[in-house]
Amino acid sequence: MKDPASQADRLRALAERFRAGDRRALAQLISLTDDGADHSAEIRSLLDTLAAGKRSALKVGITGSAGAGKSTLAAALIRHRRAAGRSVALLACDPASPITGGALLGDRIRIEYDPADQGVFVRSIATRGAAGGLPPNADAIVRLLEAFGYDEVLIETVGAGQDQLAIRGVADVVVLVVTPSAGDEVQWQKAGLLEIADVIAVNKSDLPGADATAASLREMLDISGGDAGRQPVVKITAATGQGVDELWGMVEIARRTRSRNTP
Amino acid sequence: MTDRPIRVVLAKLGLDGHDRGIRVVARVLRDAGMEVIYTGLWQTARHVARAVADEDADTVGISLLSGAHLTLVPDLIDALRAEGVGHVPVVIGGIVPDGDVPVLEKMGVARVLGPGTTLERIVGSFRELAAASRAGQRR
Amino acid sequence: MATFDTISGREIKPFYTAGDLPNPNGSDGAPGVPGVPGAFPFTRGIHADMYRGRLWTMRQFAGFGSAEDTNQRFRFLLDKGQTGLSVAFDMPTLMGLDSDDPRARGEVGRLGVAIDCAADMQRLFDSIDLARVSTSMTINAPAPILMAFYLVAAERQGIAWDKLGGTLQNDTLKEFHAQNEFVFPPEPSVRLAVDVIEFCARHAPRWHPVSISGYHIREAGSTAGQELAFTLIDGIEYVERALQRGLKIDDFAPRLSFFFNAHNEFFEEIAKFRAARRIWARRMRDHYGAKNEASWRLRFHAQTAGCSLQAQQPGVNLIRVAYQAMAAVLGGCQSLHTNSMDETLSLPTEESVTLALRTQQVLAHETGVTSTADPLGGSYYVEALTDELEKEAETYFARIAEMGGVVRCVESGYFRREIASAAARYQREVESRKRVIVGVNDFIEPPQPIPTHKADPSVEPGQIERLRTLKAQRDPAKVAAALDRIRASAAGSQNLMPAFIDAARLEVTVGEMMSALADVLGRYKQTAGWW
Repeated sequence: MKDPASQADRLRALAERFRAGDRRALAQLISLTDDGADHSAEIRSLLDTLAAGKRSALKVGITGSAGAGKSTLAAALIRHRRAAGRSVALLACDPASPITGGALLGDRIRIEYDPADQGVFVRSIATRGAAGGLPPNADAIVRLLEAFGYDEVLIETVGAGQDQLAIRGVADVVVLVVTPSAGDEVQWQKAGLLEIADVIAVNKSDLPGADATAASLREMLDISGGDAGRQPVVKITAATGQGVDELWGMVEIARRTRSRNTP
Repeated sequence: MTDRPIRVVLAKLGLDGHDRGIRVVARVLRDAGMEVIYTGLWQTARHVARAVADEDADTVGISLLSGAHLTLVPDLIDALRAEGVGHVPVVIGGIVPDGDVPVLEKMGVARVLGPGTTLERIVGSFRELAAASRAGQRR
Repeated sequence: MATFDTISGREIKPFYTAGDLPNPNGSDGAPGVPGVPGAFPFTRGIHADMYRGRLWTMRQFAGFGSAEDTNQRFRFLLDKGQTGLSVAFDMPTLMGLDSDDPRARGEVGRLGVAIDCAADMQRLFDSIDLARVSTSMTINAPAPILMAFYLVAAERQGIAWDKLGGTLQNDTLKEFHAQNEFVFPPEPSVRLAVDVIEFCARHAPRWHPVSISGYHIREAGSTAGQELAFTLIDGIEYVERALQRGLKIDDFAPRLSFFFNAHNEFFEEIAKFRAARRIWARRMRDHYGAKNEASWRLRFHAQTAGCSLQAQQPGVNLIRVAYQAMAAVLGGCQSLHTNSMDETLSLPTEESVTLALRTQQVLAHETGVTSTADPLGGSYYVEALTDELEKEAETYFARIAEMGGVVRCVESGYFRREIASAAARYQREVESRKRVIVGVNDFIEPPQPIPTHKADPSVEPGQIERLRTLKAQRDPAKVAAALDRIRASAAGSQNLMPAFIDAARLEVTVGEMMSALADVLGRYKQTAGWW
């Protein structure tokens, strides 16, 4: 049984270390936040004090179906942002088994960075029965990363959820990653994936059919576009980094557009 | 304390690419309800330590079939300390001659699971070590 | 409870009859008769007289420490009656790293011999006549560079390249499927492999420039059928690429060789080897129009299954190895490596490696299995299994073609996923004791330690020191020019072998050449198909 007083002490001590820039404190606070409801109120009030006076980060959601290349894109974006001198955190969310609660979190296989680099932070999260492929306290975890001082926060999550709006609520800009495969565009539309995306990245654009996929996506978006204009479609090859620069440009434009359109 | 799942970092340290064993272990630990963070091949000690720290892992499992354990394991123990996670128990699996087991234990390895270890014992070891590690953390 | 399916999950009938025989229409002979040994499609062996004419090559894989240490082990094995050499390189060499690279720390000379440059290769074969001994080199990503070292070592012994006999593994495709010793992306990896095939066809015609390997696929947990199918489709991929270069099938196909696993499931293994020969012969003759009979014949090396060895009661491994070796011989192998009983624990000791070699000698000289070719030919059971395996492979070929071919399937992780699911099934069967493994889940005894090989801790610093001295003695301008030439050749489409050989003559190291290549070809981080 946990003793409430010692729990509060522990949080205070962690907050102290967090403020001093101790990455371990960040890691432990994320665990406590991810843990569940029993102390989320304390953590949220702590967060308010930690976040006070901090600049907000650019938060980019990366979504798409399994095998689309989300984590390869996350890896490419980390390289791109570090090369631009920006610090970046990645929250990589993968579903846990509904039966055992266990999970295989393999995003780190794809992500390479210098272990001495303090400007990168990667955290794998197993989502347990949460809608939208995000953990229930995703917003709080993202705020922690923001408060710690990362310039940019990437949130990677599978798109095939009942409630894709979850990622909308956390990210400033949502990138949908798709791969060329004839006929899937209709599925993406039906699944509502196209609606939540601000930018659509056609990954593995060296595969045959990439141009056709991009063209038919543009056509589909033109029809449903409405006042805001249709979302940009960018061809990339995340594995080589090709097109990632252009993609990031679109992300920044989308952020400005959205901050104008949302109060 | 909540019964949040045990978090385990699994890594291949060094150059050998034989991952059949570690992949079986990853599946089994997942099926036992753990969150398994697999970092992949060709990891250096510092990469592993960084993953253990940032992922806030309860234990770390290393597979090593290259015979380089007497060089690479001390590197890992140092790197874990440097990342502030020297308390996280280290499990070594792979090809380790009997004579090297006490040497590794003296270096600070919590458990050596050599060839022929049953999956049951592997799961049990990670459970025990994670529980002990969490209890230690709370004190 | 006993099981009546094979370790690959193939269901076995209580007994087999003439009704189970293949070829009901008699395409290869009379109904149900699979032809004769030494004739197309070679199901029954590539020679009519098989081992009566010549025994298989007894080739034990060896290598550890420095070039001098391994040279001594080679001479020891030749003294004991071994008939060919097989080099095991250390992990840094296999990954194309020099001994002084920080990533090589702790691994120099550990699992094999450390070879950084042509001078090391020369020391490895000191006092061994390269014109008389045949050498097999197990190396893949940096294979063309190690081949260049070997050619330069031969040159320094005064031996012409057309006198060299041996095999370079040089099969990077299976590294992506199974063993993970890849460096470059799949496309350039295949290009490098084909560079060696092309170069040898012109300059070292007795050499086998590639050993298309299923061994590692099986070790990673595949079924027998997957091993067969994935190996042969890899072979077909190399053939296609060589043809695209403008080579003629009969110019290189006779020098292609294969490498299979000899696992526990006795009859299924024999059938696998027989099916491999039949599929290959038909492809070469009927699909590629090869005219030379040598192009039709699938030659293979076999190694007993390392993954079947157990740490518990290591002496029992001798028995496993003996049965596996017999399957390889009944399946018509051209050369054979028998594992040593202590290989799950460490590199083999001299005693255990001698026993492993003696296992082959008993098989060759005492059991009489060599007296006639394909003694199991015509067995209802073996013929039916051979046919089933052939069909299974053809099904896989069709599926892989549908998915866009071998390289696409590598990139999508298809091979890895197929192998992983077979490995997981087998693991569950062992854990649930559906399969008995003696000493592991039944017939258990308390552990008894056995003496194991001790690595020499002075090897790594010694090798690093020697490498640094060598690097300091070279002309830096010449080295830089050699590396520039490698980059330029890599950026173009010409064969890289001449650039490697010239660099090897200047003692440019494997690590230096590999980095120059990576500058142009990129490095590959495999991501698909992990689970």
